[in-house]
Amino acid sequence: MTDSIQDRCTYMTKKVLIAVGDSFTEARGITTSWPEFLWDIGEFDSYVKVAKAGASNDWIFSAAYDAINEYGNVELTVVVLWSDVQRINFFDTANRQLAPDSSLTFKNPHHRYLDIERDHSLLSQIIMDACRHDLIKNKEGSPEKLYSNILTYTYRKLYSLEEYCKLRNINLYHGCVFDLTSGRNIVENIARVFTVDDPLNLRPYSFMKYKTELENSKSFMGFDFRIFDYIIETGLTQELHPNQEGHKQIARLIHKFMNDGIRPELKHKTQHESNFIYD
Amino acid sequence: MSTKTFIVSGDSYTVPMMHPETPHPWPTYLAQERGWDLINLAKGGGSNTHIFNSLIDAIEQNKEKDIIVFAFWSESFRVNFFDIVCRILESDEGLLRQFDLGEKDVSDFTSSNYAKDTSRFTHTVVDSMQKQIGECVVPEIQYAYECAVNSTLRQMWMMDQWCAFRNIEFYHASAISPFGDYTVINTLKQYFSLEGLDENTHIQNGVRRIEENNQYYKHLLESQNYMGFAFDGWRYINSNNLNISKADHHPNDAGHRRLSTIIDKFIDDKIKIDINDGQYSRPVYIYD
Repeated sequence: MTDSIQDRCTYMTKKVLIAVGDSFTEARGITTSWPEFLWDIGEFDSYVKVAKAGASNDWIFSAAYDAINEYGNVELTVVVLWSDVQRINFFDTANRQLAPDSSLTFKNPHHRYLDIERDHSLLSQIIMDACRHDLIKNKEGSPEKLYSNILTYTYRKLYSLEEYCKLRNINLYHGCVFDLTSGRNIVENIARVFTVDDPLNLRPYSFMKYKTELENSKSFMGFDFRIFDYIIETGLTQELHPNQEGHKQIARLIHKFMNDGIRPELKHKTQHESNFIYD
Repeated sequence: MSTKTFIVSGDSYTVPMMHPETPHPWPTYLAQERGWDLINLAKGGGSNTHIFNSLIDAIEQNKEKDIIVFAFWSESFRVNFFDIVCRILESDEGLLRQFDLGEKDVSDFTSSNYAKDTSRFTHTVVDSMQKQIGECVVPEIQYAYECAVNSTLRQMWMMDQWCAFRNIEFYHASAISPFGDYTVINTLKQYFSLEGLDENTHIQNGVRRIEENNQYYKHLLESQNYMGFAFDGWRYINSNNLNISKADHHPNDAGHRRLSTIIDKFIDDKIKIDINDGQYSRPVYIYD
């Protein structure tokens, strides 16, 4: 896409790394991002980076699929860092973050993203209203059902990419930037349209399609390791994104996982709040 | 010998009990004819993402069975939210036109929840698309159109490839052409500039670029499983006067039986139907 970053090495050879993700992969303002470090320490002849700030998991999946199909006749290794479960993709043109009003700062009239946050608030309300309407029409109206669907929508993407890569004998390694299993933002967004008596304890259904496969996957770095929390707890940040050293560490972590299959762990279980809005 | 299970997904052209006049959609007739069990996952107003996701889920759930899968794809400008609800992008002009066809008036439009919700949603989404489109080598409005069509072509090819890799018998066709018509540009022009060209020129230029450059379009042209771009359910039904009424372009019962017959034939002989009159088109539907 025109507004995403697509970096390529200048020479094309046999072993190609494809790195896909959101702003944690695009790395605006960073000289060397994790894909370049990974290419440097891995055994790749070249690399392709396809990333976009604010990208949804839909966009990431499609970008990975496009890149795989473009480089059909070489040995591919695909590394994906998935994003927030509440980002919506409109035809690969626009990606929008759904968020509760409590996480938006539009009450501050001097905030530079004022208009954008109003747009996000309006869109979040429209989409949640539409979901509630149809859930109730189909006699499935519960906040737990909506919660489960939001998560399953992303899990299917992860699972589908795993399956697709398996079928094509492509190496895939993937992990998540943010929490893909729960989140205050999701619950509060659901609370736009459903009464949630106990927000802290609202849970999706215990069984969700594809989640078990991902939990058992050898190519997935796991739900418990979140890149965002990792860079916060290690202090390797620059405006809540990885700094140069953070990118180097992310590349090392991925490289280690590629070699030994041992899922990385966070030192602390703390989930840090993330509110990223892009114009 | 085990009975085959026919797994089908689609939009209102495939959904059961769409109208009292059409108790059975085409897959029911086809499954009856062939003696197959049927799983119909279609949804009124269903987007191509709904069709894709529902088929992936059903394939996973039924992979131990002897399955045959069919996707009757919809138009490109529909959005799926978390597999709960789909929304069609439609211009205010298009919504009013449909009310006009239905011999309603503007007061019906303003009191219709569907029209109000669709209008509000369309404005919000197209505004977002315009703000985030970035730099492009063709007019922005044409590029937005091409991106939407590409999203659909990618899903169509992905499902074709997914089933081929898994040795699953799969066929597909378009209930509504992925290319749409000038009304799609009407929707986009609510926020994008026409840049001195008319709606049809943008469509023609967009379709030409897709035909020349789009890898998924080229794969689908060569696919033995896809009924082709020269056929879509809406134009076939409309050109054979098999609609429910002037205001409702869905197939009547004879239309569903005819669709069943031609899809049945395609499964046997793989011969593509060419009803191309040189112009793609799309209906406008109200789902209230």
